[in-house]
Amino acid sequence: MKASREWLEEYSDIDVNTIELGDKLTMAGQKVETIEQTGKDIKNVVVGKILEIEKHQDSDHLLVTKVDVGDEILQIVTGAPNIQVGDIVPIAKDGADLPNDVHIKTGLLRGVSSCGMMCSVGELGIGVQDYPNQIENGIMILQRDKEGIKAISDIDFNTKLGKDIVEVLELQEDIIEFEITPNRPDCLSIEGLGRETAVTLNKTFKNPRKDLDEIGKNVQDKEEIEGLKVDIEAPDLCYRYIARLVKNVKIGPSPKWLVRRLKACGMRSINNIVDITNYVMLELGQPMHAFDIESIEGKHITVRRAKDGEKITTLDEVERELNSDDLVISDTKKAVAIAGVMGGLNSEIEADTKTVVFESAVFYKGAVRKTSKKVGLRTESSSRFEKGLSPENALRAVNRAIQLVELLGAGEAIPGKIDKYPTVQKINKVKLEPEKINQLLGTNISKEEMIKILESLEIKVENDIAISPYFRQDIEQRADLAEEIARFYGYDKLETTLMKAETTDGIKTKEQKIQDKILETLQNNGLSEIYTYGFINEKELDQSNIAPEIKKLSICLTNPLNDDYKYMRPSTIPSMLATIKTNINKKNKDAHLFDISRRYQNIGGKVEQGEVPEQETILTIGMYGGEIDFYTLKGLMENILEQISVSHYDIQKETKNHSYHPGRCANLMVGKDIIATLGEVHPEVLMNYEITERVYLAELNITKVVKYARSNKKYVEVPKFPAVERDIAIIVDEEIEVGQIEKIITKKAKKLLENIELFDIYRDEKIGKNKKSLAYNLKFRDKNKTLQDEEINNMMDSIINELTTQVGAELRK
Amino acid sequence: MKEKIEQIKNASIKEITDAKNLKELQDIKVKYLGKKGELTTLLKEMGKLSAEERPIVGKLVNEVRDLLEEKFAEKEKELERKALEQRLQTENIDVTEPSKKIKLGSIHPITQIIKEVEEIFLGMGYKISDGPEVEKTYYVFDQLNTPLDHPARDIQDTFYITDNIILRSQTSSVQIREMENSKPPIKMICPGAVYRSDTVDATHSPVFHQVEGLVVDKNISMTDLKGTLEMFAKKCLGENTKIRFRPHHFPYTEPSAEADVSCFVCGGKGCRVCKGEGWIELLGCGMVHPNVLRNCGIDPEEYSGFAFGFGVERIAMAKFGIEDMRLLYENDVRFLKQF
Repeated sequence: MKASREWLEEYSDIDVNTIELGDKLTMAGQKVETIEQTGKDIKNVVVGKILEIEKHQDSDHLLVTKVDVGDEILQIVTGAPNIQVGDIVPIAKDGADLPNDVHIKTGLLRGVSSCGMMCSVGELGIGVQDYPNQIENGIMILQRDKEGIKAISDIDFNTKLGKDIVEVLELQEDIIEFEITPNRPDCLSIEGLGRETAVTLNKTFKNPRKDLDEIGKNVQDKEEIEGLKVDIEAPDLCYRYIARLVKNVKIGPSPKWLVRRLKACGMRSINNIVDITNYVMLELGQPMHAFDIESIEGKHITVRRAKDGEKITTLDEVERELNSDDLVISDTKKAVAIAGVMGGLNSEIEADTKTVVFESAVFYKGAVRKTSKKVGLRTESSSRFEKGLSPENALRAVNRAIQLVELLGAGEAIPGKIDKYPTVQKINKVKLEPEKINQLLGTNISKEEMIKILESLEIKVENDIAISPYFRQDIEQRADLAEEIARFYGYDKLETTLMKAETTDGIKTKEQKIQDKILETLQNNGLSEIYTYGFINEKELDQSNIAPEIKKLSICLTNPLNDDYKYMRPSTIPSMLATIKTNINKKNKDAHLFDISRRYQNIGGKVEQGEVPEQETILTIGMYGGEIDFYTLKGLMENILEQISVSHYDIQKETKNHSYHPGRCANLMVGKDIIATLGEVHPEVLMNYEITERVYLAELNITKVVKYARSNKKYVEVPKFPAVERDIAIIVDEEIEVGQIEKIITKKAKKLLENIELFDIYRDEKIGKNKKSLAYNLKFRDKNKTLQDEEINNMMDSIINELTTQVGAELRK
Repeated sequence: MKEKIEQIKNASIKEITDAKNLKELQDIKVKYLGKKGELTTLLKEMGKLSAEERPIVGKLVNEVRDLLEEKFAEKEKELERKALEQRLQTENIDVTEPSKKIKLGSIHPITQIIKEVEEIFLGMGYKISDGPEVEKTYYVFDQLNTPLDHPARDIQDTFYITDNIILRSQTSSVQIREMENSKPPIKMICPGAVYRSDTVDATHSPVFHQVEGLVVDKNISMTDLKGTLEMFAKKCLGENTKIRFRPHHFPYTEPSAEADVSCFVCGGKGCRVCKGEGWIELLGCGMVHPNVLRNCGIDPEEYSGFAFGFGVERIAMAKFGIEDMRLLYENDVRFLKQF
């Protein structure tokens, strides 16, 4: 909402500069977004008339002119081609200031003296939109008699030569733009902002429209005026509908003062009748509409729900389709307006309109909002209605419009009003409990001061009951009163205290602690954390070979930002691969990355049942470049699990997860629970992403792993008795996994085996085709005694025996 | 005999003096003092001497032996010192050569800010909670005093999955879950990802991160809120940080405020980050709306509370001088490694 300082001054004395005013209003809750001050930077620019134009001797494009600036004739050199002899233009004289820190001085242009500059619209800091007959790149032509061009129609610039341009064009204007919060529709008006200004500056609210209350009482209710009738068929969507009529209308331009105020608030002047409706909306916050009575067939206005599929062409000449959720203003045959949003082209005010119906109505905010969104039309009117307006104010507005018609001589008011008011506005009453308010605010404000603040806002206090004025429908309970009191007591005066409350624990949950450890381990192992979006498209899932049974768990958004963000990912793999691809494209020769984030799986159709779907936290690792292979990744996973004290897990080869290389992928299992998958990315997936390097990938299900993490570590006594070490080398078939061998050894050696280390893997034709030799170092220890050689020898024999029987191992001599 | 002793003495001393290393010195020692050494041999031959000569020669031999022992020890020390010096010389290194280390990875700036904030509030006795990102409208809107016809529920702002399942547009949903599931006193913060229907550009992202906080207890006041946030701002942004409350409106708090902090880049003098204003808009906050407390089964006549929330990316960007939000989600390692 824009407001000019000049207009606000009608409501309150303002004894501070506009910037300061903006700061104060912001601190009182009417947040100022921008302050625009036009004309402020312009000095010594006057109206001048071009008497002569000659070509510059030393230049093809420069012109030498003689200009009459009232008290003297100046020689000015210009490069602008759009001037003619006789044109009246703005002249920046020697020593002039222009916006953007431009200063004009007398000087030589290719040897010819120039005593000033002709100005364009842009150079004066104003826009061509306000002067439609001007051009962007050329001198502003204030007047050119032979073509009838005039920057402002009712000024003869010939009488203004030498006069200050700022005064002549009335360029001086301070415009404040406010961000109005949705609870304050009353501040979508100059009156509301004027009231806030007065209270903020501690001035008297001048209340210039006070007369409307009295006028309101004197306008008679009628069922029919000039044959016009009104009915509300949907009282749930229309709280009040008032119509007043004006006859012998003379459509014409609005006076300058009105145009100026409209312009300051960002609205264009159309004609006097339309301008009046807009002016009243800006002034009082009540949108209005004006119909030509001739366009209302049957002279019967009905406020009704639209029929499904009903069409109306709005004033912007676009045809809109409606349904029964939408409210329309209708005559006996057709809709003439979409209620609260925009009028129909069929009932527009024309130059020959004789009798005008002014509509001032209040519609249900939710319906206006919904319709406005649906038809894609957000207007000054709809943006007010959707906040919820006061039906009481509607009467003031229609009477103000009539008052303006008379003031402007735009027509003759017909006495009386048609006023359908099915739901009378409820006045809010809240008990004023100063102690409880002080308690909530942490203040010590006296009851008298509270009452003073409330009454300055026109909230009356009678017998400790605060009675809100009609325009404050937002004050419903004590907290709302507290806010009003706090706003004008001053938020900046609130002290800073620390609560005297019961002590509470500030400790992290097990999952949070585990995440912290994982983060630390990964950082210490050289990985960088990334952040990815949870959105995904179908193509990415396919490119990553995500299994169909996972893919179908994707959650589809009804209103995605674009097709790439259509689903919530059921797997984090595609996000990681996309990041890897980005880094490869950026020619980064290696990237070791991790992401701790969620994946979203609609398991069991939870979403359709109105329940939240599965959203597990997953650690995703992605690496390429540097000296890494499957075992680097495995080591990293082992480090993480050791850090978070998960020890009882198995590693199992995984050949059916098609995102991974079938020969180079494994699952980490606790019992039958897969807690992690790791491996090299499937070459087919890499081809899909056009990646030519090997990429390693791992997913660790943090949500799952939390339950396997031991949170208490216990000290185990450092051994007292010596260990016995033995090395063995065995030859086995290539397909025997070392994990299998280790399991056999571990099982056979029972508790005595302290450590097993595979220190060599050897392949050679001498050993045999498809065979490998594995060399182990075994470390035995009994915590209660020194082990005897014989005991270990027997143990070794039985281990070798077992290996021979189970996997056909052969002892290498 | 005497002459022979003298001869051995002179010869051996010369050899000791000339010895170039410990090995040579050891050989010389064996040559003269070893079991078959020249001096030892001489002692063995003493039997051939007369009774008068024997003690004189014996004394002489012993004297020479003591002298040699001393010389050997001396020389040994000297050579050891020399050897050490030599070693030190050969072992001289260029300390400016590249180090050998496991390169450290990096923690994303968003996580760094969240962790910092968590530490501060943990220290003040807050717990950390999180909840679903794909969430029910019940928790994001209904319970937060944001009725069906409220603009915040617009499809233009919120991602919908079904009519009542959405991507949470704020982490306040976690606060509702907490209030419904536990009794006051409640002190919590909830960091996490939130979703709004904003197109990606330098300052917008459809996904961003928030930290929201909630306190509900008896006698909680707005000055407590201001005090808490001031303490937080000082710890997070620097001891000299000032905080400023401006009235605002949120459906779930009343009174509501927006809080600005003095610019932590320029200290309030005015710079590019604070657009010359000296203040940076940091967060929204207020006293929990009585309707919200009631919705969660908490009696607003008995309890009051405050809530606040802020965007993590904004702080990260201001603190690290990142001008384009897209960098945070592009994940170029050259960017990530700087943190």
